[in-house]
Amino acid sequence: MNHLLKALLFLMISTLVTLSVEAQQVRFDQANELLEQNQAGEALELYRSIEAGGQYSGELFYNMGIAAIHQDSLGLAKYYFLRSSGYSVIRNDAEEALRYVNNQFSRRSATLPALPWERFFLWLDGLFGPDGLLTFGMILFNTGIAGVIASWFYPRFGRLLFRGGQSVIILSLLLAATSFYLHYLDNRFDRGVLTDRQATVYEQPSTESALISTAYEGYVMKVDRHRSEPEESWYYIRLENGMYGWINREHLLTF
Amino acid sequence: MFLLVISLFAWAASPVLAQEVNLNATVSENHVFIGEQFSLTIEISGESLRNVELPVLPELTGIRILSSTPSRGQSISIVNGRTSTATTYRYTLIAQQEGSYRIPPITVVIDGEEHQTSPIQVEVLRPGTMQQDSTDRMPDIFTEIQLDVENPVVGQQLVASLVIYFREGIEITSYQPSPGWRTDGFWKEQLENIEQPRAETEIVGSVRYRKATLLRYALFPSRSGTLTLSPFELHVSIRSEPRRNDPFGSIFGGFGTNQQRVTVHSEEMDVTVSRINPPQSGVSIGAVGNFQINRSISDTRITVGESVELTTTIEGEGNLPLISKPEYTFPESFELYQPQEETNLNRRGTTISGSNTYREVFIPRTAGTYTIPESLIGIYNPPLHGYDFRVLPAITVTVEQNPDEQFARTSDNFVLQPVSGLALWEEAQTGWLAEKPWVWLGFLLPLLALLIGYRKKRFVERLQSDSDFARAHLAREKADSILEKTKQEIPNAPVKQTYHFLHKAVTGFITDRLSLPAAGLSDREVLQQVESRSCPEDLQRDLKRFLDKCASISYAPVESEEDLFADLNRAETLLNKLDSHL
Repeated sequence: MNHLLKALLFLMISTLVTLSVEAQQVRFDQANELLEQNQAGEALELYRSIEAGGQYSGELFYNMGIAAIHQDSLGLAKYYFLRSSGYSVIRNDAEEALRYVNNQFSRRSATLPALPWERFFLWLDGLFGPDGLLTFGMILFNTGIAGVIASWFYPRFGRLLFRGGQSVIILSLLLAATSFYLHYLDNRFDRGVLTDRQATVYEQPSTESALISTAYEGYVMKVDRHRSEPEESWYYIRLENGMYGWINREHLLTF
Repeated sequence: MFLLVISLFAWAASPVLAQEVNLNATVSENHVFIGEQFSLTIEISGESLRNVELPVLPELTGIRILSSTPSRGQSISIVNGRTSTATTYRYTLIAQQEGSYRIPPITVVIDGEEHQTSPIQVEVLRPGTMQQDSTDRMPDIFTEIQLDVENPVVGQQLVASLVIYFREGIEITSYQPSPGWRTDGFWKEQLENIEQPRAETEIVGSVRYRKATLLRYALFPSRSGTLTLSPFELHVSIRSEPRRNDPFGSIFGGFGTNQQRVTVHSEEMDVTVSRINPPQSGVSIGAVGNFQINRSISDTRITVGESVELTTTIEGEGNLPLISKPEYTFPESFELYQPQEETNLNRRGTTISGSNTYREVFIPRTAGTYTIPESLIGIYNPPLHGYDFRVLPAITVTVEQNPDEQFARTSDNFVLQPVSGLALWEEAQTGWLAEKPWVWLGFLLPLLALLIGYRKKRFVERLQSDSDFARAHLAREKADSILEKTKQEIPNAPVKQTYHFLHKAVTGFITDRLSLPAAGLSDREVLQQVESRSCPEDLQRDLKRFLDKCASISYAPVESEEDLFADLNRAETLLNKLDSHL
């Protein structure tokens, strides 16, 4: 009887999940049809409703980027293509689309190359993410502890097990620390894309303050969420050319 | 052949025939008093002057020539192998009547050709107009900034001349302008003097001064309104002859003939600058003067991604430093880069001339035919009080597709296609793993296991190294083993042997647990040890009875099997109690 209840519960949950996935897939297909019929605005609205429902996919963001191009909003298109490039299944197409969009912009920002350690953490974040690293760290931690314990009771391999266990524990702690750092970075910083034609970057969060630079559509910037928190209408950003300043939130989309 | 030789000869002789002759006439004083003598100098210079006739002076009014035969001087100079000759004729004149007179052009026949000098203006003044008091109040030396334009417009060039005035008898040996002349609101460029400053006479407030223009600046107002030129400070070294009313000047001046260094300032000056209305049509770039503008492109047929340079050159006289780059309307698909600007200024003479060159580099990103539209540029002309317009013709650029580029598309050739079919969905992340308790358990449980393992390790090590500890720890196990063996052998073993084993199990347990010698202790000594461990009295009493029975069993009647098992159980109970108390 107990087993029967469990089986029924499992069946109900899996049915609900399937139905939910099917529902967004149906809406996704409808939006694709609208896009093929050159109704980009309606298609984009439908895509957005899927996104608002908390269901993401690389294909969804890729198609949203194409719909944005049809609406002549290259900054928005770049934003969606950047998001879709985070999904391995569509990464190549998204990067190609990004090249296309970047070629359309009449103005481009000078880009300072990222520091090596920044690139390293970015690579780790893309490959494993904070969760993956933490899980991996946890497994290694358990393995290391088991190795150390085993070294006490198997004197024949004691030294090997102890050294190996120690090394694995240290590695696991490093991974866990890196996972926390990546989570901190993810929490503190966002990427932002300028979706308006141009926007002014100010020294202070006020239009009365000194001008730092002008950002144009498609410029990608790093948004400091922590520092921006006290300001309702402003983001503290770092442009790709290394300049810092404040920009009005209405010009940016972040992810 | 003869004609050819004649032609060659004529060609060879042409530089001589076309030689340059300089003829210049000057007077020693432009302002003279009636009855005062002054000199008229005619200087003729040039290369290889063979025959210079005596100048023919015209009829003069108000001025009389004292000697019709002039004094003549000649000099020859050789510079870089070129010989030049200068002949000077000096006439002495005397002023006769008050008024302003003009010495007409003087004709000189040089090598058979007639040449004429420029006319000279001379003012003849009446000596009686001079007031001795005002003469004394006037300074010996002063400077003045003189502007060539009174009411300029924004961007118009003004020539500000620094003029020094000094009395007769004073000789300027050197001068040094002080830095920091403030010309707020003006763009300032110092003009290079073509010739050495030359002094001429001027009457100021009934006093005859000699004046010389030392420096010239080109000023360009950059805004309208009243702008102020600060006083110009000049350090001058002068050498003066003693004044007539200063008989000791020469004595105290010593042999230096009153040489001294003085600092003079010009007066502060306000300049009213008018604004210029923007042109009715075309674009204003702030140019004021006389300019020509040209626009050219490096290539009109290019491929996508190839850079092209658009060059705009503004050339002429006027406010070149203040001109802004003409802004053009470029097609959207042109990626523009920071333009380069180059200015070449010529500061010689009395005006600023030169050129501004703007180089704009752009890269077309999509193929097609594009046009940079025609531009109409307005240049303000101050004498006309209006704009001159320059037309820059439209430029058409043909951009072809780059065959090497993998991803070159135009807006008409849009090939990005939406992805259809099943998508791989994932839910938006709501939190990260470390917020889930089981993750922390995943780290804490191994730590707990490590602690337990460590304790076990220590225990095993002690068992192996500490025999007393090992005996105490294994005492119960050993006693149970004896009891079990005894239990199995009860049906077959003799009673005495059974009780011997029971005795051995209990006393062995006590000696092992208390780390007492394994053999050689009497029951009484064992009981004493138990008593010393503060065991309960009933346990001591039961133990004593049990040990007594084991010792006295040889004298007792034969026990039944049930009694034996009962004593076995009794031994187990005793062991349990002892185990908990020892």
